[in-house]
Amino acid sequence: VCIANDEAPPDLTSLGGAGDFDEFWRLERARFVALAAALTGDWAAAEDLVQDAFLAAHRRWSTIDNPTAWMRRVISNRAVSRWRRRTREAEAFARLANRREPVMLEPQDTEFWKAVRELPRRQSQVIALHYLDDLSVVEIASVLGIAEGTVKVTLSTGRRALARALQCALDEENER
Amino acid sequence: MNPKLDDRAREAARSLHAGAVNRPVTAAPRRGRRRELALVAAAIALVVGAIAVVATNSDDQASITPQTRPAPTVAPTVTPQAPNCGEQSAQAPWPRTRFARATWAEAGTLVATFAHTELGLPRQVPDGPSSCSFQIRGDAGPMDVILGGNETTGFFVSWFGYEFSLRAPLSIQISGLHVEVHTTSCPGCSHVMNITYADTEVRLTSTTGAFEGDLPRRSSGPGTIVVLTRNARGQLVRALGTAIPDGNFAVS
Repeated sequence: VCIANDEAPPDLTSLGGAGDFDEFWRLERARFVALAAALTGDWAAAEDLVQDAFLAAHRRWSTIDNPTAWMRRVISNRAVSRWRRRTREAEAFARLANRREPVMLEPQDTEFWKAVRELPRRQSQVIALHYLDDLSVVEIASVLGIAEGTVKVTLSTGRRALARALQCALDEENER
Repeated sequence: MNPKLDDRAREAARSLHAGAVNRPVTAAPRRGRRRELALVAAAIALVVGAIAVVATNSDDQASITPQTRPAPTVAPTVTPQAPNCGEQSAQAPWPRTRFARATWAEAGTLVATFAHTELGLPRQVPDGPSSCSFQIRGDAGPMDVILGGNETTGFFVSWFGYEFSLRAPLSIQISGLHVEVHTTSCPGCSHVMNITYADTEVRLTSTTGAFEGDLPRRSSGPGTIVVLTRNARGQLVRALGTAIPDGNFAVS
């Protein structure tokens, strides 16, 4: 699996000081938005979700050892949960639902992420982290707080389901 | 021959990353909406105004000086005169901030005017006062949002209520068209705001102290009230609650 971005992500694991927050935000925000967009299918929702995750991170900044992993977990969990529906924000969205801004990509890419979102919750998380952020099984397990074995099974199942849905061929060697 | 899943995923990931990177930080309202949505958007776009109330009298009675709304500008660097705030910058933009301007009134209070958000609600208010978190309580329970600030990062303002850290207790009492703000860290600092509604904005004006506020009113459904004020230590106090079109506030 190729890395989606040309550049490897910066190592932000050592960040933690308040002064680093701005830099963290600057470096990582777009990556988080992409992850959120993959799982929500909506730019506005993705940006809101990421902003709220940043807000939560900001409040815990001094206690977060690995902010990138922490943000990925928060975003992954909130994106596939009914978090937004529990807020009154949802009421406003419901009224203005057709003002939302779906993620518009090339048709085949839109179809791909739509298929990812239609997977079971955990599979969609694992698939998104795997393909979008190029995380290894170990890293995905760490982000989501689940066992590596669970990640392997979920990833394998998800990839097969995705391949069926998209009528793609699987390259088994790429399973990690 | 069917394409390989990983190849397709790679392209889809690249496309999504590119889309995220290219997203504008401040997006202009888009055209081409259906008429009714355009009307809603237009109303929303006009919703938010700001006033500054500067306490000028020695007996702490405020003179109320609504500011005219200038054309949007880049947020300036400002130096508040309130104590313990130090030199700060009103820094924009945080993502999705439909940020029009931020100026400091004479008393060092921040006046932020929001141009527009998709739902007509302010998302973030950039500024940079000292760290402070507050508890907001209304008659019917806690107000749903209060924010923390940081000298380095500026302020996050979320547009709906989430968890919030509580340090310096503050209470807001809401009765009819009056709002009272009390800070226990500043006994005697009570700001009573009169609330008036115009077609496109709601203004909160202080009768007892320095205060400024933005209260967007939506054409339907809940809006968000943003209350900005300072306590005796010069800390910026913010509260967001829900405003409903009938002239009252709902707190939850």
